[in-house]
Amino acid sequence: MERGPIYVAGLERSGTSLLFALLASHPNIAMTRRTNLWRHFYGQYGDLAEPANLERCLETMRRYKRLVVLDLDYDRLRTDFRTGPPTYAALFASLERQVADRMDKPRWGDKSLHTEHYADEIFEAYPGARILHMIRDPRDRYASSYVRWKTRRGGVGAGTAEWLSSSRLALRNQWRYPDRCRTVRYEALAMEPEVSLREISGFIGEPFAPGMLSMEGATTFRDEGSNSSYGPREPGVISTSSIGRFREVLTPRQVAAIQFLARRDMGSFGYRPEPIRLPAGQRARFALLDLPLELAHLVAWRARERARDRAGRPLPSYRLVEQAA
Amino acid sequence: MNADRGPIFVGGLAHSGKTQVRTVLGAHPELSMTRHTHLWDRYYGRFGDIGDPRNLERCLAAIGGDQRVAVLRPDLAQLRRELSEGRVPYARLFGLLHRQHAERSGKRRWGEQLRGVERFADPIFEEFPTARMIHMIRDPRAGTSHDPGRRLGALGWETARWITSAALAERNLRRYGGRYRVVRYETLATTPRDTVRELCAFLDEEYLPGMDHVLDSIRYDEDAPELGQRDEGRSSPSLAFIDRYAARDLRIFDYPVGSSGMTTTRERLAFALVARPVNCASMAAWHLLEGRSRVGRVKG
Repeated sequence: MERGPIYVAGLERSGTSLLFALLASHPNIAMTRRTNLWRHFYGQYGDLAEPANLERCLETMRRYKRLVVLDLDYDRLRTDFRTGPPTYAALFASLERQVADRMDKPRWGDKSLHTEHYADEIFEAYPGARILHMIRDPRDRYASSYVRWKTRRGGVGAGTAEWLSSSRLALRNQWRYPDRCRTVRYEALAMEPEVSLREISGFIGEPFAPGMLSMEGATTFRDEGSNSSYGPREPGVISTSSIGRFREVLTPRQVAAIQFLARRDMGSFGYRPEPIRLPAGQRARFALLDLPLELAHLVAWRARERARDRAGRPLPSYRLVEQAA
Repeated sequence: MNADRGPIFVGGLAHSGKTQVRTVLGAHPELSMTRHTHLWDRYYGRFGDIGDPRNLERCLAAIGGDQRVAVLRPDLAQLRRELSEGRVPYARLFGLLHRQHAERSGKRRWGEQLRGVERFADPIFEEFPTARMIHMIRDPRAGTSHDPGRRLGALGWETARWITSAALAERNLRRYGGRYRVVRYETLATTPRDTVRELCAFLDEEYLPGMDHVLDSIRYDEDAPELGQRDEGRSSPSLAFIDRYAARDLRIFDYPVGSSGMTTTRERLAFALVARPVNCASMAAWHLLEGRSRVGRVKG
């Protein structure tokens, strides 16, 4: 099968940036990051065969901060687009190809959160594509996002709902596309990066390159260390110190709530629940207050996401620059 | 093609299409496909460390007297000679038994159909890293294997069994990606040629015209539902029970989960007061017994 693009999918705080940094350091792979093309552009501007629709789409791309940094040549993008089918996938491929050509690398890849939702569309457009879906222990993931964004709404219930949605897509995609989708556990990647990278290289059909481990291809990682929620890290070193950190960050009741809501799915990915012993008063509070509240958050999150899926996911205005570059 | 092709295992629950897959693969002239030898579920780990000659002898004596294993016509003397060198895990012993049989039949690759073999994925892939496992799965709301009127709590028991098998499919797919396939009975029944062609590619074997003839002769259950159809013979409370407790796994394997279909107050009462509590208790009992069984502990 033809070697297609490589997508890194998953939720935020799941190690997607780490995998991006490792893959971006492969001599054959040009990786872009946070372009969110599928989430924010796919299908949003109608039929791209209509010149007016294409121009509206390109205009938003020019103003989208995540794409401004790529410094794209939009004239070339238009020219390339006219040579192929007038589809969103063809437009995205032209855009990514341009970045890869500039880096002089033969294959392109993209790391954007939530890409797992578009697996069907991606494989239809690029049959040779590969999706690497990052999964992290939901307790550690929630702890990491809690440290970073304390005011995030929905609490444990919404955080767990998000994880459940992504992890079930991981299972479904792996079943539907067993040779093209692979789940990568953050813990395995951080603890045994070389073993994991050798497996990943085999899966994507590229030779293992030891230089990937130095993360030279990702300047942020090389110069400043990772984007950990727990403060600066030694540049160029893969730290495992955030694994199991939820024990310091979350309360036992929060851990118990995540385990209650996600127990079955945690087991599917080899995450074992911890025994939580709560005093009688705390236990009553957990059963009568926390659990109903978090269940309500979970249901509300699902309802909100369904509504957003129906309405589309246009770019928020704060992600756009005032004038086109 | 890869010269280092390992054994083939066909697993899954009863009435999920294992026999059809084994039959069509058995039509390949180079594959020796056997069924129901029960080596794994009857003998794996039963005699302790078979590196100890006394345990090995006990194990060989039991295997030698087993009617189901007799179809392999094991040569125990040769087995002893081969096992005298190197490690002696159970998987190696079972592999040697099958290999003897395959060589005697002039086939280069062996395979086994066994219900629930997916529970042994870890020791199988440890001993045979190039093995391939096909896990058959079928909509639990269809089929003939579980008539809810048969006995009280049977539905909960069968649903627990199905959920456990689906969970193993998810786990093994994640762990053994390129070496594990989950095939839906419904897909096999509706597109047999495409499905078998894909399976042949997965097994790194050629799809041969002889397999076509076998496919033509294979019969599927007449009530094999198309995707989205339900077993009309099932009562609404039964369907509601499966929908409710297996919804997560049904969705993962692309089976539709609908509304309960309970239209009368009588049905709703029957579900709330009888079907649900009885079958929940039955599910819990199944999990308890499975967790304590020797085979249940293997899957970890």
